[in-house]
Formats: sequence, structure tokens, C-alpha cells
Amino acid sequence: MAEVNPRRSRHSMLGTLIQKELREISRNGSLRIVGVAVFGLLLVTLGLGLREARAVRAERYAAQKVADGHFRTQDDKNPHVAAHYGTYVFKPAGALSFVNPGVDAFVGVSLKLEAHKRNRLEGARARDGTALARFSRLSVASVLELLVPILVVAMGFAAWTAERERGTLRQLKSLGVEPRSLLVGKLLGLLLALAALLIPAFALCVVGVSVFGGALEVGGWGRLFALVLVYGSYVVLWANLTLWASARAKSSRGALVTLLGIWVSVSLIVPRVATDIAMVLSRVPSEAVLSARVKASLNEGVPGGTAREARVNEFSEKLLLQYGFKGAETLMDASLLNGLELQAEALFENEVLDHHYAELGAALDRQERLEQVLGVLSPVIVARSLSMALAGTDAAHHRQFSDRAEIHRRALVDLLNREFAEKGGTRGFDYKAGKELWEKAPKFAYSPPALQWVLGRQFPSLVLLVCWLVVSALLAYRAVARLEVA
Amino acid sequence: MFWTVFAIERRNLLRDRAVWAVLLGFSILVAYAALGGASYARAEREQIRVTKLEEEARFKALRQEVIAIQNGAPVQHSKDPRQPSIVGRELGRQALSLPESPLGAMSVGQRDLLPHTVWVTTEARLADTGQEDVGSLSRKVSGVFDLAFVLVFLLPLVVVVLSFDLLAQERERGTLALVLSQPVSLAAFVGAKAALRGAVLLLVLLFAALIVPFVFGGGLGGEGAPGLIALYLALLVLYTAFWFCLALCVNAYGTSSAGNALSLMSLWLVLVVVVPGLASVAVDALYPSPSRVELVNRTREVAREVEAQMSAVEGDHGAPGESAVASAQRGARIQRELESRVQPVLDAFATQLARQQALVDRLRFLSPAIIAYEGLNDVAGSGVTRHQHFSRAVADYHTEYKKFFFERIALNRKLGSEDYDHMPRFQYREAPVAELLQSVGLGLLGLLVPSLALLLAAFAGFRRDFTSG
Repeated sequence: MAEVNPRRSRHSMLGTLIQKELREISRNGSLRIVGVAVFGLLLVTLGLGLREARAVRAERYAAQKVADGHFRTQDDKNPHVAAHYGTYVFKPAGALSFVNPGVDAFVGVSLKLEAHKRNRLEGARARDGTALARFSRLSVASVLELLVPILVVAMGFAAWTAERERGTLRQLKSLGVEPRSLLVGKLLGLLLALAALLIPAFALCVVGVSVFGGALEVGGWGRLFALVLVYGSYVVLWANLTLWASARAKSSRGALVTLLGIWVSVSLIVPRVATDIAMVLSRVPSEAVLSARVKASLNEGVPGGTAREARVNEFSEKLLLQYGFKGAETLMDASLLNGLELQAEALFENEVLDHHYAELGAALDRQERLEQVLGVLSPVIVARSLSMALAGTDAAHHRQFSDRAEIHRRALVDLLNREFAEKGGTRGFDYKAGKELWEKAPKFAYSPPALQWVLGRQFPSLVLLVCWLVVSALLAYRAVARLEVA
Repeated sequence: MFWTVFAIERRNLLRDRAVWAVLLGFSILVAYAALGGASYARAEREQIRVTKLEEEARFKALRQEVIAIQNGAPVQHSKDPRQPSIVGRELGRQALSLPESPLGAMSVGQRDLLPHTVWVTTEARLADTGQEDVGSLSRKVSGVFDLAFVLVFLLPLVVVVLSFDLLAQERERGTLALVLSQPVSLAAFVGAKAALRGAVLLLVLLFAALIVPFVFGGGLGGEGAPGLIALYLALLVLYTAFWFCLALCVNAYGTSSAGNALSLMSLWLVLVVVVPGLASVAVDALYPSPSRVELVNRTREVAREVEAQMSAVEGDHGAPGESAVASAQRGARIQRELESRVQPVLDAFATQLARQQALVDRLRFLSPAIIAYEGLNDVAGSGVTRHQHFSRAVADYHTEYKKFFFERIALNRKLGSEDYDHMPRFQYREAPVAELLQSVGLGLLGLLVPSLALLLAAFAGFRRDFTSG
């Protein structure tokens, strides 16, 4: 008699278990329909997303060229008047906006950079659309976050209850099959069935990105890989939850109702309530309030700080020392005086802006971190937060762009004011600069932040994703260990 | 017999703890949503009130200053309240607000994206900027947790929970044959069960959707409120009825209770998530919005063509060797020129949005969820149509405002205190109610017809032999 290798037999048993699960899922006609529908939606949203991302990219790129051209070819004028004339920068689409459009439609895209002001980004696309566009925003991300879990539930809610209802659970136990290996078999069966659907979709995504060419910026592949890991974990945790509920329920009906209840709560209700909670617990001044505060401080100085006049004078003194004109003001040209004064004013304005924007940034950071932490209440919040961040379409990326643009604005204004001071001579505001200076203006080059920056900001979400994964697995494991056979 | 079944079922239902839990949970959500909508509306009202107060105080001060100057007080030239160019461009700016509609707390709709207040000066209005932000960016993305959300998204799910196994479980337990041995038709039996659940749900809804917002101060008063409330209730009742009819139909043709639950959930996903999503994709594809990004450059090009003059108007440092009056008159001409050339592009945005909305009005019949959502937005005055009406009113007023100042600038006539009394003021007038009635009325029909069709189909299904598994 041939000896049976126990290791091998366990493996072949697992194979049998997986095969059986897969056969059951693939034979179920309604599951096939739902599966095909979800796959179709993934393809449609992917195609639309790629098309949109390409169009946006081309549009913003072209617009930036035109805007740069406007600045370079402007008429001769005083450098400071040119600083008022200013220039525009356009926010490029997020690295993976075709997967998750995130906040992109709700924030502005064009920003005027000019002297004295930090403008807000204008032209949010959602404002030019109907209410229907917000009612249901289909994207690859929303299909993965909302519809795929329903598919997982539909595939697995009867995993244990049906066995019990048919009496096969008792049989399996009598054969000495451990519940633990059954669980592994069922989980792998479920995941393989899903993989059969999601992996082709992902492959098509990679092909789409490569064919449509350059939809991915530098570092985009790393983000895409991280995104696949996030959604992979997300699907696994839903499979765990499904098997847990199925093992706990008395009937298939009960398991399904429980799971759908969980889905409705964590996808529809909790995320919105969490947003409200974060808003109430961490107040952020509205744009109107912020601009009123900035305006007040520009007139009077930062609250608790030196008054405007005195502070501008301090900056002037410093600049005089720096230029080596301290004590020789009477010898200075009109332009030099004007230019220095403008520079001092700009320094004061920057200080005011820094003060208020640092406050705003801190408040927003607090609010966003709180929103992430509330992912403890719903895995959908965790997945959404990570997905938007990796796609480069969350609020943090938007702010990062706006901050970069502000740095550029200051460099530009400073260059023009300095040029005025140094080259204007006795002509003062009559001095005019030309093409030579406009050509010298720095070009705005924006590159999205590195993956580490994203992961650092999303640390709470990453931890919570792992927690959800582990806890859901433990729940499923414990429920199966206590499984009643009849 | 119908009433006997009704009474028995009432007893059964009231003993079912799960039903109570669902109804209680739903009531809490409705109350929370009502509170959220009311607090949104309150914040918005408060912003409008503060703006108006600031404006009144500013005008009063300007008027007094004019009188003081006439009596010999010194003048600061850059802030001369008698100079029409300065007042028109800056000091006398007007805040035009879209007042809250009586049912504004019910649905926030597009209101958190579109400005409730815009400022008007003699400058060309080249962008639709104004004050709109109430709340965080994440809330704009997810949408406000208001009654419209709860009613359109969650109410159908409550109907599903209450009615996915009107029959299947009785049959699975074997009690159906017993029931049908009594002198009661299957249709009457199921009809009584569904009617009872519908009645209970409507009671909860009426309480939660009407009384709760009232208690939380969500308005419900004001001109035309009774008619709007009637439309709101009609939408609510018919939308609920649609989902009950759909559930009946699934019960009539379904096999097991779990199968019914899954079918209903899938139908919910299709009607509430997928169809609206695809409809919105179709709207975007057929009538894409013009590009705001291109508008920026286009505007700049137009401005650039008159750039020699622009530098004097845009910068704060003035052009040398020109009298203030001449500069103001030229500025007015430039603004007029700029506006006349950019206006067609701006109109394209409004036209395209109107086309989009017209298509949505047709496509809504694909899903009762769209009908209900659009209807609730219209009733609450939070839809695109009302805002476009507001935008047109703003444009009309802007013309009037510019005329007032440009006339005085051209004639170089200074403003006296009496001019402050006669300055045009903005009065918002609502669009005729007939438009709203027609739109929402068609929507109600779009809910009623499929409901009846489903009901007929359901009763046809119940005539089959049902007792055998």
C-alpha cells in the first residue's frame, strides 16, 4: 500500500475546497450577471477616466503655454505694473485622477499670481454641472469601493449557512475536515473568483495607461502599485467580514440582511456623519472669513504683532542695510526708493499671509487627520482616503499645489521689484522694462509630491487598513471555530 | 378579510423587534438629516444677514460722509464718496443674495457649490465668483447629509427591509398554505401586508420629515410654503409607493427570501447608483461644459488688446499725466468693451448648463431616484434652474447699476446724498410657480406610471400557484 503524504493530502484537500467554491460561484447565474455588470462598469469608468485625464492634461498644458506666452510677450511697462498684470498657473490633474477624481471637480484649477495678493484657485468644474453630476459620481474608485463589496457579499453570504441548511457541514465535520482549513478554502475560493474579475480589469488599466501614453507622471507607477495593494486589502477585508457574518448567522437570509445592513451603514451613512463630526470638532475658517482676516491684518498688521507702518519700516531698514544704503537715503534714486519700498511691502504682506495660511493649514491638517482617524468606524473611509491621496486628488495635494504656486508668486514679484530698484535709476514709476526682463521670469514647474510624502500623511489610514484586515480575519476565524453544524 | 389580515399583521409587525429597530434607526437618521439641513440653512442665512448689515452700514457711512464733505469736511481723494468712478468700482459695491426658499432646509442641492451672494461693481463680471462656502471640502465632495439624501438613498432601503419577504418566509416555513386555506385571496393577503407596512412607514416619515424640521427651525414658513409642502409630500408618498410596488413585484416572482433581498438590493444599486451615474456621463458627453481654463486665457487676450489702457486701470499706481476724470471715463469705456467681448463666452457656460439641465429633465424618467432628487431640489429651491434664474436677475441688475454710474462718470457729475437714496437696489423675484409645478408634476407622473405598472405585474404574478415551493 502506498503511503499517503499527509502534507500533500492537506494541499490537495485545500485545492478541492477551492475548486468546489469556485464551481459554486461560477454556476450561479445571477452571480454571473452581477459579476459581468461590475466588470463592465469597471471598464466603462476606466475608459472614461482615462479619456478625461488625457483631455484635462492636454488642456492645462496648452493653457499654461499660452499664459506663459502672455507674460513673456507683454508690452514694455514698469516692472511693478507687470507684477500687477501678473500671470496664471493651471493645476495639472492628479497623477492617477483617472482612477479616483477625488476633490478635483470641487476645487479651482486656475490661479492668478500677482503683486500684493494671494488669490484663490478659480473655476471649479462642479459648478458648471447639474446636481445630477454629484448625485452619483461613477469612477473606478467608486465601483471598487461600493459595488465590489456588494459583489463579495453576494458571492459569500451563504458560504456557511447554505452548507448548514443543506446538511453538508455535518458531513464535512464527520470526515474530520477542520473548520480552519474550510475557512481558508472558502476565503481563497472567494478571492480567486474576484481575482478572475479584477485582475483582467487591472491589466486593461495598465494597457490603457501605456497605450494612451504618459497619463502617468513620474512616480505614478509606484502610486498605482500602492493603490492596487490598498484595494486588494480592501477586498480581502470584505471577504473576511462576509465569511464572519455568514458563520455567525442562523440562516442565509439573516447573513444577507446583516451584511447589507453593514454595507449601507459603512458606505452611505458613516462617511457622511464622519465628515460632519470632523467639521464640528475641528473648525476651519471659511474662505470669506480667511480673506477678511488677511485684509484686516494687511491694514493693521498681524494680530498681536507690530503695526503695518512700523513693520514695513523695519523691513525697509533691513533692505537698506542689505543694499548698503543705510544712512545714505538722500543719495538714492527714485526707483531705488520705490523698489525697496515695494519689496518691504511685499515682505510684510508675505509675513501676514504666512501667519494666516499657517493657521489655516494647521486647522485643515487637524480636520483631515480627524477624518482619517474616523476610518475606525468604516473601512470605506479608510479606502477612500488612501485612494484619493494615492491618486493625487485629495485636499492635501490641492493645498500643496497652492503653496508651491505661492512660492513661485513671491519669487516672481520679488524679481520684478528688485529689477525696478536696481535698474530704474531716476525715472521712478516712469521706468519701463521690456522683453528681456519678462524672459528672465522663472518658469513654474510643478511636480506632484513623492510617494513617501503621501504615505506619511496617510499614516493613520494605513494603520487602520491593517487593523481592519487583521480584526476582520480574526472575527472570521473565531466565528468559524465556534461554528454550529446544525 | 383584508382588514382581518391587516389587523393580524399589525399585531405581528408591532411585535417584531427588528422592524422597530429599523424604523427607529431610520427616524434618527431623518432627524439628524433635518437638523443638518436646518443648520446649513441657518449658517447660510446668517452669512447673508451679516453681508446685508455690512452693506447697510457702509452706505449709511458713505451718505453721511458726502453730507460732511458738502459742509466743508476734508476729502481723501482716493476714497471720495462723491466720485462715481470710485463709488461704482469699489465703495458702493452691492451684495446680491439669493434668499432661502421656504423649504431650503430640506435639500442643499447645488447650493453649497454655487454662490448665494455675489458682488456687483462697475467692473465687468468675468467669473461667477461670490460667497458660497458653508462647510468643509470633504462635505462638498460627499454632499450634505440632508433630507434629500436620506429620502432618496435610504428610504428605499427601509422599504426593502420591510417588504423583501412578504411571502417567501411564510412559504419557507410552510405557513402560507395554511393561510390560503382561509377565505382570503393571495392578492388581498399580500396587499394587506404591504399596505400596513406602507402606512407605518408613511406615519414615521410624515412625523420625521415634517415635524422634526419644523421643531429644528428649518423654515417651512414664508410665501408659497403650503404649495411647496404639498409637492414635497406628494413626491415622498409616490417615491415610497414606487419602491413598495417594486418590492411586491419581486415578491411575486421571487423564489427565496434571500434571493428577494439580493434582487431588491441589486435593483436599488441599479436605480439609485448606476443609472444616475451613467445618465450623468451621458449628459457630460452630449453637452460638455466649456472650459474655464480657456476662458481665463481668452479673457486675458481680450484685456491685452486694450492693454495700454489696462495697466492704468489694473495697477494701483495710475498713469502719469492724466486727469482723474479722464482716467475714470476711459476705465469705464474699457470695462464696457471688455464685457461686451467676453460676454458671449460667459453666455456659452449658461447655455450649456441649461441644455444639460434640459437633458437631465428628460433622462430623469430612467430612474425614480433621479425624479425624486431633482424634484426635492426644485421644491427646496436648491436646483440649477433657480440659480440660473438668480444669475439672470443679477445680470439685469448689473446693467442697471453700471448705467447709473457710467452716466454720471461720462457727465463728470459728482454724487450727492440724494444719489445715494436713488441708487438702484436689488430685489430678487422668484420665477413663476407654474414652471415649478409643471416640472415637478411631470416628475410625479413619472413616479406614478411605473408604480402602477409594477403593481399590475405583481398581481398578475400572485395569481400563479404560490403554495408549492
